[in-house]
Amino acid sequence: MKRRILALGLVLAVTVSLSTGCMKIIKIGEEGKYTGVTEFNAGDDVKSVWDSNIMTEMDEKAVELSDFLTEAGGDLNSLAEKYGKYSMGSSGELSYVVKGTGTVEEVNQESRAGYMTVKLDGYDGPEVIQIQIGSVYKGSSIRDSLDFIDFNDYTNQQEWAAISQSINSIVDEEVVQAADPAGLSGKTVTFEGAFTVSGNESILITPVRLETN
Amino acid sequence: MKGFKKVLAMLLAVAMVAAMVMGCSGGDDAKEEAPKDDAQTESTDEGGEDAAPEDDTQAEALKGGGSNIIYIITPSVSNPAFKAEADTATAKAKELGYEVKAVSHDDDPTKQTEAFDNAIADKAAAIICDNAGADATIEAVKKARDAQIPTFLIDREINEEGVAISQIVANNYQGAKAIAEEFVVAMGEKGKYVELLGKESDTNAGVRSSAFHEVIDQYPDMEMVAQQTANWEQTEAFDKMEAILQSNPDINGVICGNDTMMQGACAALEAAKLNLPVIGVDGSDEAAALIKEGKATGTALQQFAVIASMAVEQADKYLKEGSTGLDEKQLVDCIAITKDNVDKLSGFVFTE
Repeated sequence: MKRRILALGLVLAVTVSLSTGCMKIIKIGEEGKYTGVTEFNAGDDVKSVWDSNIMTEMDEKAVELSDFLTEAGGDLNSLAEKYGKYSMGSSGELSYVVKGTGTVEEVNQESRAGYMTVKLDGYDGPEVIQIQIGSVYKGSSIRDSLDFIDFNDYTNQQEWAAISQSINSIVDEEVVQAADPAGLSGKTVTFEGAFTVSGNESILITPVRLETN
Repeated sequence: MKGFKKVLAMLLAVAMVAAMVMGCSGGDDAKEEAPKDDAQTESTDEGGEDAAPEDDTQAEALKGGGSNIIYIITPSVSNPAFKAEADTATAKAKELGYEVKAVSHDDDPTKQTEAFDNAIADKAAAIICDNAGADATIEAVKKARDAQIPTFLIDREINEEGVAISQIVANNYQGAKAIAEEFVVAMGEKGKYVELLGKESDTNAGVRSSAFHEVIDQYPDMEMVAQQTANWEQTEAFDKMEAILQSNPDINGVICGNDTMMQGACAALEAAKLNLPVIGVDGSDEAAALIKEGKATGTALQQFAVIASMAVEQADKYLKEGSTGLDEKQLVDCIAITKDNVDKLSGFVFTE
């Protein structure tokens, strides 16, 4: 009898102590939160926030490109305050997040900095719309259009650049290559991505979503 | 025997209870300690402006050394870029009613320390500095800070935050990358090229080179046949380029860490009756002239004048109001200059 009570007591004690967590389990890679020391690794950093932060913010910000171009009326800088983000607060390079559907008119992979030209559904304006398909990606439009990533959180401009490189390599692996760009000519695609203003004649989008319909 | 078991059971029970009571407090401690540590390091750093704006108001703002002198410390003004920077800062500071002492550290950290010591002896109100080394500069800025003198770093950054009030950094990486993209296009994505590197002790020499290569190395048909330092200097670049051409007469292009080296390289190419894609970084009027004449492909304008006047304005605001109201680290874009927009560039200022 006494033994049974003792055993019961023991089991109870063990259960309680386990469930209230006497030990703190720290995931690999999160040591820095407790020690204050983190080793910088742009690739891991970006991967860990891709779905949770990057895609969430991109989806939230994305403006329908046909509406955007109609509203801009040929002056892409004019919508800076409404939809854009400047690299230096209120000046510098201006980036936007857009989405849309269109027909692929040309796939150019002759250049390593490949692109495809898209005729946007529901818009007939003169702007040439291109989507980067790599394997070389120009610029850092995605990084520069995000609010949750800030230069002040990084030690120097090399780390800051590495973040953009990592973003672009995820774009290549998981967005562009997954869509098999070589076979997209003539097809209808739905896309979402960012571009940095460079003149009013053409738009070069780095995609975060690219799907055939 | 029975008695022993009872004692053992009691002991076990006590141990368990103790574990339950104490066990979890360990975890909580760990959570609490992290922010506490931060607070401590910040206070030993004397207040870290790097954190949120609320810290700015809590931390005691530096008052300035007591005099009305602003020290402007830059690399050698024999480079037109640094001359533009020093001249703009000087003009701006005078306009705002300060006395100015402009000195050069010639990229020598020891000379830079002397300049800081002089500023401290002169009870300078503030120091504007384009520094001589990302690590070597930290100590000098701290020393000025201890003497109540705020430092505003321009152009180049240092590897520590919370020491200077502002770090207004030219985004060399972005600029070098942008102009490297133009270089690749001019080369038709293939061919042999030469790289002239800047002074090794200058962080930006490495930054620019790695940005060039981030772009160019993605093209398998681009081959670097020689890579040498010309220490930012025009004559040295000319000599090195001449020597390289001896052993590599079939090169197709040249990338240079700055515009003065680009001038040297272009002169050597011209002497060998070659006209190839060449890029530089800085955005000097001399580079603009070469681009207009079709002897160079492009350069990346570092907005030296813009950065210099931003720094003086922030110093003035800080001295008057105790805060700049801005983040410590501010990145200023470079602008890729090619024949398409070179007409808008003059005296390191790009006018849209």
